[in-house]
Amino acid sequence: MLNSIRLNQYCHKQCNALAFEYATGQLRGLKKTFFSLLLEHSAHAQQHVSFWQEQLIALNASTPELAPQTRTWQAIAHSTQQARTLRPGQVSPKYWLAPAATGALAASIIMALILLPLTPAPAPKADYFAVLSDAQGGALVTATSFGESKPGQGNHLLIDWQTLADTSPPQPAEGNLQLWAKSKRDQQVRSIAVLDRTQMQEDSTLVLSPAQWRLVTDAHSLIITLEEAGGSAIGEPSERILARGPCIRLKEALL
Amino acid sequence: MPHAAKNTELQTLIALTAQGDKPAFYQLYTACSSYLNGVAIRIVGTEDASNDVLQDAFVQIWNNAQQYNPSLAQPLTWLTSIVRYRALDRLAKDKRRAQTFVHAEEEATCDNGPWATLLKEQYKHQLHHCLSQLNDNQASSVKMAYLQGYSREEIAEHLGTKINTVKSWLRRAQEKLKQCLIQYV
Repeated sequence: MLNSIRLNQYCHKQCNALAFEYATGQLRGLKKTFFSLLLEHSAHAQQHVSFWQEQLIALNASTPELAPQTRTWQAIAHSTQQARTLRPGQVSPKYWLAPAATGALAASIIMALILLPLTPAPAPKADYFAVLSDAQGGALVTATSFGESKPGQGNHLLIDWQTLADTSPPQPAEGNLQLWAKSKRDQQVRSIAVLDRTQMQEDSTLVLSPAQWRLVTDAHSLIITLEEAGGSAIGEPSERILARGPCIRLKEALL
Repeated sequence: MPHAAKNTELQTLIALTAQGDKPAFYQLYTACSSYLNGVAIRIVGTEDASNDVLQDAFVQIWNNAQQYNPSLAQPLTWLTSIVRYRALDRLAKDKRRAQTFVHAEEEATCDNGPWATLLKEQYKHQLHHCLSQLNDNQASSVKMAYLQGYSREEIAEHLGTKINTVKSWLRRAQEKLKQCLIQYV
């Protein structure tokens, strides 16, 4: 329940801007994957996207029409014919017993096997989400973890600096920012990563090792601190905390 | 045909498509495919690619027609959104663009097809009124992003500026447009 409230609070502040980016096609990569997940579950997010789609479509009033090629309808008719035979509840079971239909089914399976490698890889799934706020309570950065969509692809952490709120990502003149996880199991704070300059830009992505992934999945909250160059020498966060925020398991928040 | 009647006609065709009515689906395709192909080609840049996008989109329309909810979106908005997102997917998949750049200002004189009338009637120039309140760079950025699927990087390249500047223009445009458009809702 608390997680749902936190996610709704985030959406209340950010969904309009994200929906505009989504509707204009600016939202890409893991950030788009995350927002698509939010869209599936949040009526608030859906309303924002509907608003922008409904308004921006007027831009197409000046779009010249272009008759499609003849082959396009033929391909659609062919695809939908196949899809229809596979629609549940629309085909008599007797159909499947007919020898000719069995042959057609076998051909379809062979075609499916041939076409399978051409289908896009499944999108990675967002698992954990955190809004890290500064001392004044302003959202500074969001962190979203994505479990690997297939073995070997690795887990990722999308770090999105909230430049939408007119706060440029901090660029320390000296030293590094360091990302920490506070464990919900033993309350200890452990380092996830020292952030380099490329990770202090909007929409940067960290590839997580299995050990880093475990820290994220066990995290009660995430913390970003300013440390000396190369990261904290003592393995503990400094008192110069830039942002912190609770870690939400999306599966629970989106129920 | 008044826009309300045209909307009702499209809603009916989508509803019949949801029931597996092939002639209705073909009628829907005949009614909108030229307009939607026009939307797609502005994003993907070539006729072959736009026809592929149209094909993918109409297969999706056939499969998902049951999910269309008239209380959430006008039928043409629903259809256009499907085509646009498929076109953007295609662009991401190809990772390159084959089209030549058309400056946003040059497109204003182009106005043909029955759907242009519907779109203009439906929205009563509200978007154009609100766009006119943006500065040229902000308005051009929105049009390039929406109509041609340009990324911030591509917009920055075409307008000869930095990516962060384009981000700022788009953010300001979003804020101003929302403030202006909300009065019509």
